[in-house]
Amino acid sequence: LDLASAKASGMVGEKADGYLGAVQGGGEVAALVADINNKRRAAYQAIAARNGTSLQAVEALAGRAAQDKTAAGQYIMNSSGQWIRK
Amino acid sequence: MKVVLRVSTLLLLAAMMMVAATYHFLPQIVSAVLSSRLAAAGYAKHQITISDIGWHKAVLESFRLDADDASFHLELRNIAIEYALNELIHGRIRSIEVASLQASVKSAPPAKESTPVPLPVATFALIPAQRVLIRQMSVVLPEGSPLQSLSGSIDYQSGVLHAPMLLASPLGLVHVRAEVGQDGHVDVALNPQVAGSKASEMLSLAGTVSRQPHQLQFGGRVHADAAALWQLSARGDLNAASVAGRIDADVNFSLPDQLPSTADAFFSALIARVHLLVDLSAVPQGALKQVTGRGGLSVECRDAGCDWHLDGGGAFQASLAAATSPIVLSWPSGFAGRVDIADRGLTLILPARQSVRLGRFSVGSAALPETVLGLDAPLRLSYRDGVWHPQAVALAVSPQSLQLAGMPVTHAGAKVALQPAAGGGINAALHVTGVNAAVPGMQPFPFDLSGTLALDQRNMTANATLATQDGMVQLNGRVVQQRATGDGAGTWSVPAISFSREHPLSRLLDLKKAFDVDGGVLALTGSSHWQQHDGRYVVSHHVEIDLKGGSGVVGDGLFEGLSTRMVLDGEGGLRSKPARIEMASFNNGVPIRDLSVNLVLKLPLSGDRKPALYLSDFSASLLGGKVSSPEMVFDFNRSGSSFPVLLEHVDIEQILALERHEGLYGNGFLDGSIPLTWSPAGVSVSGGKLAARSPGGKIRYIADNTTRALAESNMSMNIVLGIISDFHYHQMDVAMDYAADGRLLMQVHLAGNNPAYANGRAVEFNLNLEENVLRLLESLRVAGDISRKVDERLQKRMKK
Amino acid sequence: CAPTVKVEVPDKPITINLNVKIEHEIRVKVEKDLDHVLSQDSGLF
Repeated sequence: LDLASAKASGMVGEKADGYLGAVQGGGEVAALVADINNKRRAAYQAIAARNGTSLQAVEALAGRAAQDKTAAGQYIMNSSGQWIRK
Repeated sequence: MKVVLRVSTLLLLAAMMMVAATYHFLPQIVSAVLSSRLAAAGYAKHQITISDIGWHKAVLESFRLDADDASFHLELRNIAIEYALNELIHGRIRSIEVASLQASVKSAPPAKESTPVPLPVATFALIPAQRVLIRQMSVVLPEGSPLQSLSGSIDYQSGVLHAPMLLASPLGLVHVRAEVGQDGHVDVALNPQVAGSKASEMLSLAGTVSRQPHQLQFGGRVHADAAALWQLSARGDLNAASVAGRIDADVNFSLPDQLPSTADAFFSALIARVHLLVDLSAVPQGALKQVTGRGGLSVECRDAGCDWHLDGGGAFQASLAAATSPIVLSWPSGFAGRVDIADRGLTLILPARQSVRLGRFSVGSAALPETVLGLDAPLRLSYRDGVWHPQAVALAVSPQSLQLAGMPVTHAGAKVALQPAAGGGINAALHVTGVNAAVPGMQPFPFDLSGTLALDQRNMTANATLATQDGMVQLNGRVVQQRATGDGAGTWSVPAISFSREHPLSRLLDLKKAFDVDGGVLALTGSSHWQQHDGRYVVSHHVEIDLKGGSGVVGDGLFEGLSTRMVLDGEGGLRSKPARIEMASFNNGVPIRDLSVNLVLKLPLSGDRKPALYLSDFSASLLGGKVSSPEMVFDFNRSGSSFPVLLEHVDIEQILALERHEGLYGNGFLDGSIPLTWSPAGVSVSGGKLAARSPGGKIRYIADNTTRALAESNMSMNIVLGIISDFHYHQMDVAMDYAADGRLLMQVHLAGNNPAYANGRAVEFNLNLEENVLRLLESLRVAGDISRKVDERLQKRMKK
Repeated sequence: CAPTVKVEVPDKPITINLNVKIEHEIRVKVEKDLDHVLSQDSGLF
């Protein structure tokens, strides 16, 4: 399973905190989400360090950017925690 | 038998009588026969007095004849002719002795048709007499010819000729020695009588004449001093020219034994093969400044035409009125051609596929380096009555780089076709490919140019079409200039340039700052008139610009839907009539839509003046509201200018959304006026005043957990967060100042309350806000994908 | 930035003076970096 098809088939979506979330369960999906999020966290820490700002600030901006860039029809989590199609 | 006898005796008697009569009347008979032949040959007026005719000798006291058209007069005195009857029948004479011969030749009018008249002097080898002796001879030559007269004696004895002569010429008396030897050997030499004059030996000719059936053949060598020969042959008007150098030639030619009297017949009968070694320089009159020729020239003539071939190179210098320095036209070795001779003129034909070299020269504002001109089609030049008439010329110009009005221009080859037009005019057609001109401010882009030029006594008219090789731009132009005054007018038009990513404006213009147009259709037309006013040219221009749907990059933003129709006029600089400009959208972070303005543009064309823009009735929609300005001036010649910018009904919700701050929300509408100051360094505002429309609106800020965690430890921060979690304001006043570096200072005063806080107690909110708008816009561009698009479009240009 | 808040007699309005400086500098840099991280060819988006 790869990220692009997972997103396209609505199995995963972008959360406001800059991380991936599993829309439907399943071992394979959970493994993918964990793997991607670990890599993202490492990237966010690097960016925070390089720009002298907090990880949370980077996560917040990442969330906004990821949700803005999510293609129409794919899932994003709204401020009250529900998965909605963009 | 008697009868027979009687008849034969009768016959005998008759014969005897005949012989006696003939003998008695011989002189009259001979003169009758002669005069009928002379009359037939066009010499009706003649007078022959025969004093005695015998079986072996005849003596004529005089022999006079005049050409009907008075072009030729001949008079011979005391002529003694010896003959043998049997030879006479075959037309051969033993000897002719003439005491004196007087002849005068008027300017020879063209003989009507070619009546072969045996010229006594030239064809002695053909004279049936074994002995001809003319003791004293003088021939007067036509006035026009530089040679005045020829006098001397002729002694010819069975093939051997001695003819010492004296020639009166512009160079004074010239000794002429003409010898024909027994074996047909011919030796002719011309030497000036004045010893030591510059031309020691003017002309010498040595060779042999052989008689073939009906043919006179000569083969031999000729050495000549060109200067002397030129003066001998040059007609009155040309003798101002000077010629120097030597001619050494092997000459072979053959002629029918009866020389045709018309030039055409002569040349068509002439068969000649001449090889000259020429080392010549001539300074002719008129346009030709100097002709130099060195090396071998071989000529083969037959049927009134000669093929010639040059072994050495040569050149001629011509000075044209328009050219500042003389033009040197040189031809390489191996250059060949043909000369056709017909009706008193000749046509020089240079076959195609040959090239001549045009030396460096400059005409007007064009400076051309050495150019190789290939003959695309045979070049014909006809020469009649002293004037060269060029006929069709088709040249191929080799690729080169040249200077045009101070600009380096290169081209990949050109075709030039020239046609003489009526009244001494010239029609030229020109096609140049791959032209690249380093025009300041323009990108170098190769274009093809094809045009026509018509030059007549009054005007020079030129039409041209210029098309870039990538087909992006086509320009049609027409210029008419009066040759006398130089006044003229030109019209040009660029039908339609369709901008695209592949063909952006930056392909044409050298756009340094971030600005490019890569969409839309531009059409241009224009005309210029120039007139001379006391020595100076006044040039007036008229330009019409029509742009539809223009889109592209300006600064860091993108624009679309730019349309305008602009008409500019002027002399030194261009000034536009008020032109309506519309732009669908401009986005450098904050989208501005439906911009429109009336523009008057002042565009200086030269000198150090800079452009100036006078805008009026500017309006656009921005953040849900409208921005407008009655008048804005951007005059780059002045340090700056200020003008009011009005904001109406700007949506606060959209302003706050720009901050993209999680949990921040607000609404309401702002109106106000911003006194904006512009200078080439940038834009600034001081004392901007904005106010919210009644009834006001709400401001809500739901802080995220980290900010709330911070607030726990700070009482006042806690109160503030509590109030603005749902703040209803009924009054908002904003005072703002903005500096060119992007720093925005705003004093915001809010009056209102939070109904759910301290049971809606009134709150006065004074907020000092500082922000860098340029950074904000930059961050908006990143988020809105604008900067990626801008970089992509500008990147395309850098990569090119 | 420390806001100053005066809370006096209940019927008088509360006045708040607040100085806010919005920093975009860092934000722009972070957003540019994120632009690369969260892009098709990074494999994380």
